[in-house]
Amino acid sequence: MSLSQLQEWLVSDAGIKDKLDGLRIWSAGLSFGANTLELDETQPTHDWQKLLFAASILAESNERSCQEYALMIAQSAVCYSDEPIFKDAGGLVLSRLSNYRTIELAKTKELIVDQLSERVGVIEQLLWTKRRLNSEIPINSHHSLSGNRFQVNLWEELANADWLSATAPTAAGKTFIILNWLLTQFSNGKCHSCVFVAPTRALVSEIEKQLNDLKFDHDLKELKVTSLPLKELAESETPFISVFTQERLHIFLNASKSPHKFDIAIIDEAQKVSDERRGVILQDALERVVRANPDCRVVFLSPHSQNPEDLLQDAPSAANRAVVPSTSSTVIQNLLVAEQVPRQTTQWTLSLSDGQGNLEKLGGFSLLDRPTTIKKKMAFIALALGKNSSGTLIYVNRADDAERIAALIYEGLDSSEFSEVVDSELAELSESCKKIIHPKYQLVPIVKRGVAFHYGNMPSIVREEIERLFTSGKIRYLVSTSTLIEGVNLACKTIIVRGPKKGIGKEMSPQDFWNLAGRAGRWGADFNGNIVCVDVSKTDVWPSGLPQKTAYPIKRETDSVVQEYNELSSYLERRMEMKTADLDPKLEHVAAYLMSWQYREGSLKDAPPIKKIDLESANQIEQLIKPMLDGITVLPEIIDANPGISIVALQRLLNYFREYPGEPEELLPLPPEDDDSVDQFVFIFDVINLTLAPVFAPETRVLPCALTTWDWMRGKTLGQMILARIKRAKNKKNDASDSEIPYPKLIRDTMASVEEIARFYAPKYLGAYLSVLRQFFHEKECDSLFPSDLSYDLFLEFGVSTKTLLSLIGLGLSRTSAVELGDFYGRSDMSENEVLLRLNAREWELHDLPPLVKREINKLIETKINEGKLPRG
Amino acid sequence: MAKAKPVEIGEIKFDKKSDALNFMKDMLNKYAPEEKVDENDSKFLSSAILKHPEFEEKIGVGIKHFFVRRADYGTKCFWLERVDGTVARFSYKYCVDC
Repeated sequence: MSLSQLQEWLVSDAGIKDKLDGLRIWSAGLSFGANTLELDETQPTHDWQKLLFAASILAESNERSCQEYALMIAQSAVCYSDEPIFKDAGGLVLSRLSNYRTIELAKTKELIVDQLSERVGVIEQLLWTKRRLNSEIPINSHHSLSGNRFQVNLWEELANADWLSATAPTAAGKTFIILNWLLTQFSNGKCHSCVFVAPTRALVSEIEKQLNDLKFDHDLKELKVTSLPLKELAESETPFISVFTQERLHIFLNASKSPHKFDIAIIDEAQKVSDERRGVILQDALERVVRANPDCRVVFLSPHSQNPEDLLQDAPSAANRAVVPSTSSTVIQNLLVAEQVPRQTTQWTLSLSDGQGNLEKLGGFSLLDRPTTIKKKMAFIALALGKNSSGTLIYVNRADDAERIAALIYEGLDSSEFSEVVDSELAELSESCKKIIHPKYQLVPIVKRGVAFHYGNMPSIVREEIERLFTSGKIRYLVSTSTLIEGVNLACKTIIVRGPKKGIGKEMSPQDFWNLAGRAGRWGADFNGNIVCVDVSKTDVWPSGLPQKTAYPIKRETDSVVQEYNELSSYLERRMEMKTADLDPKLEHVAAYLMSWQYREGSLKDAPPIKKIDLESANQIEQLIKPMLDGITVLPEIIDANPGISIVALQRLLNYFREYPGEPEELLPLPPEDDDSVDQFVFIFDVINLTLAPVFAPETRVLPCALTTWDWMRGKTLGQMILARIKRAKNKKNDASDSEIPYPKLIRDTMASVEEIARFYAPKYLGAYLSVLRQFFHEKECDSLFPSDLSYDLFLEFGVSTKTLLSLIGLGLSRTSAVELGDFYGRSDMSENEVLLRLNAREWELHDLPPLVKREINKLIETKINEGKLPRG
Repeated sequence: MAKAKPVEIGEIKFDKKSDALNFMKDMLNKYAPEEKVDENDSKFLSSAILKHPEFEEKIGVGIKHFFVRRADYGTKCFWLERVDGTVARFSYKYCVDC
């Protein structure tokens, strides 16, 4: 019998599968901590010696299932066996799996006594050292890390590949390795500028923070890491790393005369090329980067995908390619099912799924009261299962559910435990929410008991603090919406879900479910993660039952649409005559992409999605687009700079300007401080609705959109915007009493319109409007009338309209902090250095600022001292 | 009760005033702000504006085309652009009422 046959036999029914599964069920039951589940009286006994011997054999395998069993046995032995020798042996198996972080965790929890490697025999000591050396990742001459197998493999491949695609679940530690590798490229002088593309602003600021912390390990204290797409960046000689969303990357590429040449591009969450609108924008951004510098090295990161190699299809033919998939897991994940005991609404059972449709009962638990509503059910289950641990996350479909379930958990927590003394960090967060958002914001009371909620439209300073306190364990319960699968790297110990959807009404794909589930189990903080599914037997809640574990298929949105040839061609046939209200957002983005490709290159034949279809269809599409490109006079750079907006639409806008009866100046936006600024935004949004896309339609929505955009741009704080909206609601209802005002909804709606209108649609479409308008001014030979200092796209993206505020954000402060501080600064044209000196003078300590803002400023000053940009002391 | 008075604008006959008003209201709502009025409707509006009490002032040097634009309080209104590039708004209600 060869080794691989032996491994196969071990995990088969003929081998010891029943013993392995028995152990798995037993340890899953214990993983919630003592007194959480009522376990059966008779506890099984385990033959540890035999199991650990099997684990040592299975650990040598490259098969995922074998490695998982090995990990499970090792962890069970470390956590739940009684004899120190079995715990030590478990530790040894972990070292064979290169899982040193879990060994460290066991040491901190005092499950393994320190100096494990010295207690084993001489041979094993030698092997231990050898393994340790093999998993060593040298990040510089005096510092190295111990990686897991995936990380070591990734590190090796990075040394040679020009284009690389790595895929691994959240807990595998890929981002950490990539960031360290990136920094070594700077310290070795192999890279001058890099762009890291992440799909959400939340992820952008997380990566920016990590890089700013890690750079000190690499002696790169002066390296510039920024998320601000400023022109000066491209023009400066100093090396930099920019962390952008795809939209910001476009803004940056548009800023200089010719797009900046990056040496390295890293695309995080690369499976998102399949997203409807933003997937096309992402693909277009990357193509622009590679066009500007064909030698740019490109790294794609994706969570557990089927076909990571497909991302490398567009690599130049000479490029070295590598695919690095992850085959091992670092944390054991238990998929669990919670069901009510028939006829007893407060009595529930928890069972473990083996992924093949079989359930094994682990134990029972009781709810604190009758779950008369679904929200109560979720809250009570969370309370019952999370009572002895931190890191309990409840996934919900909507922001208002998140707020309400969090409030129920808050109420259900035993109030006697929470005396007057509230943890100082929780109290600060509560106080800050009061000041930054509104005194009636739900988070203000509930966070004091370590309960919080989390959704996409919250201001980043608050959301990031919630994430930090949840990770540190001070916030024990977190109720969250789908922002988590949209790419916040937030891990937890237990996730509780019931019929999960992605956003409102959209079914969640099994891949998204497993991406979400992947957050259960924090490598290095937990031994395992639990995914608890509620009411699985109800088909209306889980129409397809428990989601099967499957990988993401990576498919570019452009490919998907082009392959639906008939739909696309009939759309293209009708496109010229269409009113904007009839545009199909899905097809329009791809149509725009194809039109600009054909316009730029003269033919579609080399366009990546076209290369994948038959020649005849390709020619047909080209012929359909051709007449639309006749008579196009919009400049090519404007077309390049506005992905997702078609040439036809841009030309329609230019034609509108040309036919406009008044003076060209009447078409310009007015600075936000001008009295007529809002009316002018209304006019501009009307023109955008008419010519580009109905993004601010119907017309009754134009005024509210214009107001939000205007408030946002002139640097109103979120709190002020919420107050204004509440006041309008009160006036509308003839001075309604306080109890009639739906505070939570008004607060959430304000946050949502800021995110969607002011931060997404307005910058994108206003940017296009202005670039076409500039061309029109040039045609009219009145360039000098076009204001040069008003970069509205940047102002909108960051929600400020002065250089001083932009400088504060450029230094690394959140918009919230910048705006709060900006009130105290008279000058509007201060540079980053001037602002920094002002902050260092510390007069802000006297102002009445929210505690979180003060903390952020303090941290910034400390960082700048470490970077050597401010004197110490 | 007075009998409803029929109204005739261009080639279209309306049984009563409110029919004419509704017809023009629907026409107005068909267009987005800043949109040009199509040929057919322009023909109708050219006849309608002749019934406006200040039609001479409104028409001025001559009409180039009609379009829809916002008026007060975010409402919409028919506008015309004259051949010299100047613009003016007019209320369709005045074209029926007087």
